[in-house]
Amino acid sequence: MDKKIKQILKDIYSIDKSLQPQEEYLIKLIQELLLSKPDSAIDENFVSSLRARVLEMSKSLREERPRFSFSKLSYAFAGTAVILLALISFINLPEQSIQGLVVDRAKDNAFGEITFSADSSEESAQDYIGSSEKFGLGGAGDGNDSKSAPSALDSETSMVFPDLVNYEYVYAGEDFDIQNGKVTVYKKTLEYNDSLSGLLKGIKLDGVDIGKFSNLKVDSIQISEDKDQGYILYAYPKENIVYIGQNWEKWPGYYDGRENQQSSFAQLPDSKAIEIADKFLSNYNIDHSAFGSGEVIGHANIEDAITESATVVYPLQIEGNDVYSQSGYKYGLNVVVDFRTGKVANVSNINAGNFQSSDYDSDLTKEQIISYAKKGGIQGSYVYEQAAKTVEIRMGTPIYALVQTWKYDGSESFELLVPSLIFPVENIENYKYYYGSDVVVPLVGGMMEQEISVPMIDLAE
Amino acid sequence: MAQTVKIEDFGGVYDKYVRRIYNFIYYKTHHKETAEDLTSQTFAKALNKLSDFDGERGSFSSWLYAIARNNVIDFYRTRKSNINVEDVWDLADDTDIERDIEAAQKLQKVRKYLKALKPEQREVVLLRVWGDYSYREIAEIMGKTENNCKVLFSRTMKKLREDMPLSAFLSLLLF
Repeated sequence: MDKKIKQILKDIYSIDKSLQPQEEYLIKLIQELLLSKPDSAIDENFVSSLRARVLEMSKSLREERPRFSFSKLSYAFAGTAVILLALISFINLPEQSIQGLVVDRAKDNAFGEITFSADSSEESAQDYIGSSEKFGLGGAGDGNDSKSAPSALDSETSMVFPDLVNYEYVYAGEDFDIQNGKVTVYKKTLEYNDSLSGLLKGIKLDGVDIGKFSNLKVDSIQISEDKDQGYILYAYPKENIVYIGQNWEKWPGYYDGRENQQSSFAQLPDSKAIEIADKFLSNYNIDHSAFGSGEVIGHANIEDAITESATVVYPLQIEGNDVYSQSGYKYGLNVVVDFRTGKVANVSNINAGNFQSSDYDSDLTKEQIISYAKKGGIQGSYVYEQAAKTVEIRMGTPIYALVQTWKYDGSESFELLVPSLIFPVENIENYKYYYGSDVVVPLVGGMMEQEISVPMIDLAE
Repeated sequence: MAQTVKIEDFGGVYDKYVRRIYNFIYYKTHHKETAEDLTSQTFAKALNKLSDFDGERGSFSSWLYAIARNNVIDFYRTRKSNINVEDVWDLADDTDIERDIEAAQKLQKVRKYLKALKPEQREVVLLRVWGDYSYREIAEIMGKTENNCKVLFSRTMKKLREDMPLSAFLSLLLF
């Protein structure tokens, strides 16, 4: 008898022994159920395409596009925020000095007005709130419908929403001064890597002579290691995206859920995670000369958090300045180390890219900067009228860094790195669900002056 | 200890769950394109609402499967305007909702018996027999204890055995 059928029978008898005399029927029933199993093999092209979209979306969400309204926020911060003014620090805007990546310089204000335009912000906020209408790859229906019907399981998903809280940002760092003048903004430029195109000429694929096609370009590449615990590489040369992940077929026991059932695993110290990441980059000869040394990033405020992996980031550095995401995390080459396997799970943002630079005026005063920081910076903060409590978020002395943002120009979007002050969020007492990370205030004039109107999150959705 | 999932780890999350989620949805839709569309929506929603996931109230996989299940329910209810429809099994056989021909043919013999089950009875049988999920996984997916799932499975198999008349078994034995 088939091993699986035996196991299923054992399961049944462990609960109800009275069924044992009917074993013959049960075996036939199970066999018939097994025979009727439809072929649900997933299309690997779909898996790859969706992966690219998920990664792209994940990257966009990490930018944490602004989704707040200053007018709605204002009343929430009318309280008694105490600013500790102890020592004076001077934050000087950096002088122009070329280090690391080569950057093409453009005229002043070359990238146009840098704002979070109301249109794109509203759209992104609407997407963030939960619709996925534009995301589906298959041909079945549109997502609009999915919102209109009540679900019997709403209660199950509603359980995931944490209690409502409002945040009150308080500046608790040292005093500082800021020199006005020019700041340099960077634009990432996409450059098609056609080094592979020339190799295609002599290839014949299933009777098709690739050399007979002209002006060839490689749009995407998928290469997998055919070995135990091998990896798979996805590259999209047009988008300058390279991603390495585990080749699931070669990690037996892991992706079929058996490994996942382990209830305990050792959390690795940061130094060990960095060592594993360094070794991986070295073994696979991955060029990371445009990035700084690896460091583990995470939610420092969540003391009892247990994670299955550590993200080692090698910060992108441009002209001597680290690049940060809008969440206040260092941005760069990411290597995720899985604690369960003690090995690298995936590597992303491998391609540092090319950049153009352009100078912009910076005329914010210290008072204006602190005022914006107390409103949550570019991330903002939702304000719920029905919030159960208000949590005080203490911010330390800011550092100068380049922060990612995106500019939408018709149908095209491009990445910008904007000089900003990042206010580190200090330990938060008695509250462990603060996911907002550090507070970012861009220094380019006008960026924080946009009033953006965004609908409140409908928690019942 | 509460489980947390960071957005920068979502590539690994996707690798780990995409095939399981797709299969889970396919068993409820029997249509490749629909399953792909709903799988896409599931990961998109999970990404969008990742900050809402509270590891102290359940595991990440339970949360992810709940999103997938709700997507399937919403998909059918909005198309058939019937709050009692949860998946393709609840539809009449002559409905205009698309199904893969191969799946329809394979299910010919057992469809009416599986169809007669309650959704949770059907789910536990298909996850255990078709999906080869462990009871631990099934418990996470269904939001029940492992033992509850074992009892549910055993009782459902008993019901199937009782519902299928002797003639049906004899016809099965001929093949």
